Amino acid sequence: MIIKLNYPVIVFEDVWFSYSDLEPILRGVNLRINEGEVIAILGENGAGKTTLIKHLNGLLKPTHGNVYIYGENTKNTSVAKLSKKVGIVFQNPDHQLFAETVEDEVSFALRNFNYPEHIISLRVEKILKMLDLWEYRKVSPFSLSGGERKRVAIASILSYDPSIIVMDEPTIGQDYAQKQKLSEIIRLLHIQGKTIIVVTHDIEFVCENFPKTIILSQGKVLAYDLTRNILTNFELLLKARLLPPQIPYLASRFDSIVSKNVLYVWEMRDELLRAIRR
Amino acid sequence: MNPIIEALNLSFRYSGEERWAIKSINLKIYPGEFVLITGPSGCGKTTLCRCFNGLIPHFYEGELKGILTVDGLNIAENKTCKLAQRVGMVFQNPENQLIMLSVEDEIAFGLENLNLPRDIIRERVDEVLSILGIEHLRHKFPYELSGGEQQKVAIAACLAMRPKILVLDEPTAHLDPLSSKVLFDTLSSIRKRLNLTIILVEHRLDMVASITDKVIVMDKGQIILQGRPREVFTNPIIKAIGIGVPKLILLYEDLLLNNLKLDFPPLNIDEAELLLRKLLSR
Amino acid sequence: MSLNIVQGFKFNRNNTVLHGLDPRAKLIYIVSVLILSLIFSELYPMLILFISTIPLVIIAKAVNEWLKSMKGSFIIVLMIFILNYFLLPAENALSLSSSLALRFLTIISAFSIFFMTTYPENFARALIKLKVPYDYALAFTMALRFIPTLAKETQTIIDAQRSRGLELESGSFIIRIKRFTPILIPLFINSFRRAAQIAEAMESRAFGYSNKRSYFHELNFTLHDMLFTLLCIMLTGLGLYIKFYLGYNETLVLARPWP
Repeated sequence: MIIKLNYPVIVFEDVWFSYSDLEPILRGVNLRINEGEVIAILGENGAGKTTLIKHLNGLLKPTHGNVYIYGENTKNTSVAKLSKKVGIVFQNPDHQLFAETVEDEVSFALRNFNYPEHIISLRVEKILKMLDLWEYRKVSPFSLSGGERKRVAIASILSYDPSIIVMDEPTIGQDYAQKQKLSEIIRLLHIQGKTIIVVTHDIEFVCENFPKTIILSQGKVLAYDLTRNILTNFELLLKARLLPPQIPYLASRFDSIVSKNVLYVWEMRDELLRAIRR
Repeated sequence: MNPIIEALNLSFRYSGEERWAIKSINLKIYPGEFVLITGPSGCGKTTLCRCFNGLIPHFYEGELKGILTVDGLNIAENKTCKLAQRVGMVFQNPENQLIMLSVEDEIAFGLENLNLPRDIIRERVDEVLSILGIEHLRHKFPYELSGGEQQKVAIAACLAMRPKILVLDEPTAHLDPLSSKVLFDTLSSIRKRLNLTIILVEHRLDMVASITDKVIVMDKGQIILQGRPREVFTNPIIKAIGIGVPKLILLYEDLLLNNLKLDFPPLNIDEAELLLRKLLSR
Repeated sequence: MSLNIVQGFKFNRNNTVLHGLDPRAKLIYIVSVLILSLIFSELYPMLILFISTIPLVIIAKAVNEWLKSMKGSFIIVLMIFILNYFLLPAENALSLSSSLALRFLTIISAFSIFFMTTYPENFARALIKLKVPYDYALAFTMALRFIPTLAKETQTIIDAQRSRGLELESGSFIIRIKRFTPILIPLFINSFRRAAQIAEAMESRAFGYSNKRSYFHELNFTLHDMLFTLLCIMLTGLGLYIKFYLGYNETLVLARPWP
């Protein structure tokens, strides 16, 4: 794992948010996220996860409190400027695909940010090859399968190389192989030093890919800790209306015999072997 | 007992496409079974589902080969509106299957299509609202419901037509884990209560492993494995084609590699606990 | 500011007498208001007509929304007033422009009452009772059903594209129109996709099974509806009588000492 200096690139300072005079969706969120961290945001539907990430690039501005990205208050700048540093991949690729070719689709953001054409072609080639989409570059994005369209959406954000990458529910409708591919991408991005934030409710996916997790419930941060600590704390998970992952849940049934901090299949096996040899 | 669904060498390709979406499908599903169909994206699961209620070949055009009989009816000769009384279908996207302005109207819609008299409609609407525990949603506007609630309404709307078979194509794709669990529990309970045959397409094998009778694994348009869950999930083929094996099965196999044999592969936490306790006491 | 006009048309689920009336009766009410507001162009009758809508708003328990909608209409009303004030012959200008402005407000008010007190489900049922073919009534229902879905989807698409640097606020008019392409294309495509999914679901529930269909809910004209309709017709009749038979006219009014 790459270690960088503790530089908070994302700061939420007592953030409250509500639409007009409706109930607040975010109720006093405080967060400091350092550069290079890979974090999952867990929470039930309606907890405020999507609202929270929309604050990262200024699509939404807090009703109270402040959000700072690389030290800059989001209230003082535009969505386009913030989007250069914070790339958000939204849940449904069909809500953004519009171009005639995959190439054009992936170049869209680069053109909006006024990159010169020769740089654009280089960047597009690089990202399409990284995501196994190079063969489809001249093809219409609409003719691709669901999983491929998802990758095009991701490519279109990664193409302009933002330092902070946010994904909203990237695993929905994906099969196991596609999720493995996603894990690979996250790993690659981490090696490049990106700060990665993924909103998901796929607990097993969180288990395998994220060292740290934030739990959001009813607009509040219930916990921001190592994934291991969070996913083995069933009271916390219950409070957030989440189901615990299978292996820790099984381990909890063997309270006295097996350590509480078991997350993975191999850890459970080791614990059982230890218990037997005693 | 005769199968309620029988496929003989069923193949289909969508018009304008070269490859066959499903190829030489042979299967028999018996009344009352809870069948799980799984496989990597693009394996033909959705295409197969569409055959069960006649959307293929009547709504989706293409070339159909072989025979599929559903509750005695040949799908090639019977349109969906006729099959709809025997096979109900619930789709992936909760929102796009609810078209009316209230839950009550939604449930009545199918019955109105069948020209049933008003008192029968009323009876059935009350019945399914009660069976699914959604009486409190009767007058609600579908847009205001949560995904889980919307899927329950979709199921209710199907059940009102008193089908013998219920097909669900990845109904939990857009739901969070808790709502998914609620949905699966609901399916288990209505299956027993109404003596339904249920066909479920799912990726989340962890949650459904212990409630299904039979698992059908598909890949590239063909059925490559069929059988009881314990046999199918421990078959090395499924890892090879890229299916996410339930964690408890992975544990079972890992223990096996370390010379620790559990009596049988566990399909849920309770079974796993039981088996592990036996193991530890030896 | 002007979007607040819409507030006066949103259905509220209060259970008042007006909500219980058949939409057809309320439709007759609107026709009456339209007729009366068009045959009179004098200030006093207009004022009376406008004020007559207010008790209905109160009965519907929708005063706040109605006020918002009146406030939102303010700009248009002002425009009507000013335009007519300068274009009409001087002696009638003031009262005539006021009455024309009031006419606009009255019509908005009446339609507002209709929409605020009619259950969306009943629109289609009313259409069916008016012998509109079922398919059209169904299309109408479905359009209403999917409006919020479409609105949300549009917002999501705008968010996604803005997050890729699309700027919708700056630039000349033509450039801004072009910039809407990445919004419109996904919207259209998703709408087609949605339509296909909806069609599948409808087929799967036996849509098209037979030419005859039954109706779970049916609108019935009750005594209340009859009375309300009768009242509207009588008042309209009275208005027509006053205007055409008695020859009610602005000049006539001004010639007499008032009251």
